[in-house]
Amino acid sequence: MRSTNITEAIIPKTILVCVGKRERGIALQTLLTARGYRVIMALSLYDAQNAVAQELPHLIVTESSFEGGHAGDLHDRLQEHELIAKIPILVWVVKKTRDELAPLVNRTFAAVFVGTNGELMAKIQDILRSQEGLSPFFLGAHAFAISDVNLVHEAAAHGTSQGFLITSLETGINYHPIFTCTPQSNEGVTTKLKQGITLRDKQNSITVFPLDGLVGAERAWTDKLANFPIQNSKKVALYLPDTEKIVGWTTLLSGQGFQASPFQDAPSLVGQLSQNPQRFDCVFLLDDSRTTLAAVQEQVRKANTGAPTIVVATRGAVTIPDAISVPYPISLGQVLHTLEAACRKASHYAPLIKQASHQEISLIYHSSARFLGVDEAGGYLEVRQPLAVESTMHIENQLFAEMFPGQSLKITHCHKAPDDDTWQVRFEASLGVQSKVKRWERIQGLVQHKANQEAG
Amino acid sequence: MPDCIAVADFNQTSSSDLAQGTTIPLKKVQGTSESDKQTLTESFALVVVADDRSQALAEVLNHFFHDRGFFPESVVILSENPSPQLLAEAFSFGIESLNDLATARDTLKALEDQLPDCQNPQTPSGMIRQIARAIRRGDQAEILSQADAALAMATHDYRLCYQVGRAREALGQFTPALALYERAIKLNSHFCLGRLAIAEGLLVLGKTEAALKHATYLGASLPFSGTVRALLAAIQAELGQFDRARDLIAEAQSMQGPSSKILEAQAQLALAQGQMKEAFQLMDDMSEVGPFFAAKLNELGIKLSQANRGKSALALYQKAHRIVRPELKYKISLNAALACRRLGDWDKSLGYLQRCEKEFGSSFTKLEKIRASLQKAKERDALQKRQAG
Repeated sequence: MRSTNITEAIIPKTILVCVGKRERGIALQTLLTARGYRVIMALSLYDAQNAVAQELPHLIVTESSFEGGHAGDLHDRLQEHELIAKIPILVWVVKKTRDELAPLVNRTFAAVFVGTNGELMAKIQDILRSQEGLSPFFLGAHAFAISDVNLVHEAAAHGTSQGFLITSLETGINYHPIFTCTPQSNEGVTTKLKQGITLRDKQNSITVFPLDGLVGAERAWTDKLANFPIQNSKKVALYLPDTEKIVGWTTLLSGQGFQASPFQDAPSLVGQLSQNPQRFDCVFLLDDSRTTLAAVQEQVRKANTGAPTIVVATRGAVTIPDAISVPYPISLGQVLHTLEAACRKASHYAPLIKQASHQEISLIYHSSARFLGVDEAGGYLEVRQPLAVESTMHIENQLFAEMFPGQSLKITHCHKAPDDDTWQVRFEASLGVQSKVKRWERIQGLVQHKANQEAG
Repeated sequence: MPDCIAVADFNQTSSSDLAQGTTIPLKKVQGTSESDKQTLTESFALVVVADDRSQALAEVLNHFFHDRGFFPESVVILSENPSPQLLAEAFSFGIESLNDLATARDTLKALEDQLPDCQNPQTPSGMIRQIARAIRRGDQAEILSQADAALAMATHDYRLCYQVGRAREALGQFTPALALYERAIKLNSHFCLGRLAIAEGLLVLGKTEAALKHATYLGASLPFSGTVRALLAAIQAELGQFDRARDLIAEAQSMQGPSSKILEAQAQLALAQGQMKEAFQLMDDMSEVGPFFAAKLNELGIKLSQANRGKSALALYQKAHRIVRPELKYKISLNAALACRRLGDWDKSLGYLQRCEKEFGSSFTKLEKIRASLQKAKERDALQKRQAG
């Protein structure tokens, strides 16, 4: 089983802060929250013990004394329980007095700290990083002997529109993956949807797939959907430094009904965008120079509404955030599908989707993922396409069903791997009334049971 | 013949990597020489290595799809730096699969995996190939049976719609063929071959204005296509716009050099202007002539025969028979038989009928009626000779 480092960007860190005075706690909480940590505050030993059981923090930052006890007491209580004994404790010594320091003697803490707030932040980061980028409660895929899993997402097909299937698919697709879906319209047909493009604005998000490539039974079910006639402009800014080729491309796109404006140098294009970004529906970069892309993206970000969609022809399997990438060597059909979709807006479809809601067909999407591991709140997967944060999914696997019974899993983080075209996602399962300790014990029990079965 | 994969390498790159990607024999083609044509006919898949369009590439694709049937997944173009012209050429043939040379082995493996489907007549791939083979043989009865078998599956498959349309066209049934092509472009609005077939079909049916509408649309969406310019020229010639037709032919020639399609348009223009001798000369270099020009030649032959210029008609039919597509030959043989009957050459006429029957794949009512009338005339002649003797 290939091991993968899980990127720090998708690992939420929970810190329990135990303080004697609320004001000091709030000040510390503000500093930590600003650095992206999830902070729970406890003002007494009792609160701290409960919070540890409920939340399984990755680190406890505690003053040396607080209501009902001191850091040494908290340390001792944690040591009584094998599971929570490994949570590191950082003691923040506010006053260097004998009373404050005496309870710390003969006990092992991650650190005993005396210093400024800034230095404290650096120390916290050091301790958390020393956890190999993960939680103290983490079991890698090898512990479960699971490698690949199937993900299931629920969505709906709303209609068709000028050669496209209009779906709500809660994923952050921005390039051309292949999705296998099962329309729930009783034919029991599995359809492979390719070249999906997500159109998103503040209120709406839809994913469109070209219908052209769908044949036979994979296509037949779409006849039942409503047809959405959309009239939209197709103004494309085309950027390519190659003089000969840009003429060819402009001719081709003009012949397909696009109003193509050619740009051979990046400053002219960026200049036009800075003056009036709404002048174009789409910016098509046939050269994937990162400098040009960054300058174009900056101008597009500045536009409040009606900003053009960026399409980039990329060398190799590279996906670019906030842009639709079309990998070379591109085919003309692929470019036309992409540009036609990119010139549309999700808001065009919102009222039509509402009107035709009685005709929509439920879809179950299937995709595969590599399982990386679980922690106290959820788990980690490596996927071939981005998944939208806040969307939900199921994992088709018996062990997952036992770990997270009857629950939809919510995507909380999605991060692209820097070196290849994969994404790491973190999901969380709702706890309900259960504490994280109880759930972690159950997960450990399942792993042990599986190990025993295999040994037996 | 064992199935093979044809490789047309227009970049002259080493294809040793390709050979390692498959256990199926790879056979090189360079254009459409007789041996290349044979290879393309035997191939179930085609790999093209190119960065730019060329006349040879267009001819290879045209020949491959004619013999293999239209199944775009069976063609892969490997290209490092494709020009817009190459992309437009691939698009005009409905080919969406362009890959890097670096992925050649995977590409070959993926093509190899298509073979079982291609050999299975119950799959779209297999059906399309069967229909194309029937058309290639020109056997009308077989074409009909294959087309009927595929029709039910064609409803939601633009590839099958197109291929069954081709079959209907080969049977001379242009109206149902047009309905199938219309369906194909409804299912895939970017399907240029379907629109091209509609324009040609409308032209055969004499709906020249409608044909012009489709051809003009194609002219804009395929701005580098000489084939589309040649079609537009033929339509303008039909409309009597001879200067415009000449300009379009010149444009077509500048785009793709000499080709049978352009010669067809030139000959069509010559015929429309009554320049028979020029048209005849142009026909010497034509091949795979389609239904529109074939219909024109049949019409002209009938006129010559009816004007008691039977020998000229037979000379025309002889030439026409050599250049038209196989599925169109039987009609020319039948008209040649009728011209011979008019000349009173019963034996020669019966010989043409025999050829017609072979080309059609079986006998048919009209042929039997003509044969019966010939037998009767022959017997009557023999009796008269005996009586005279």
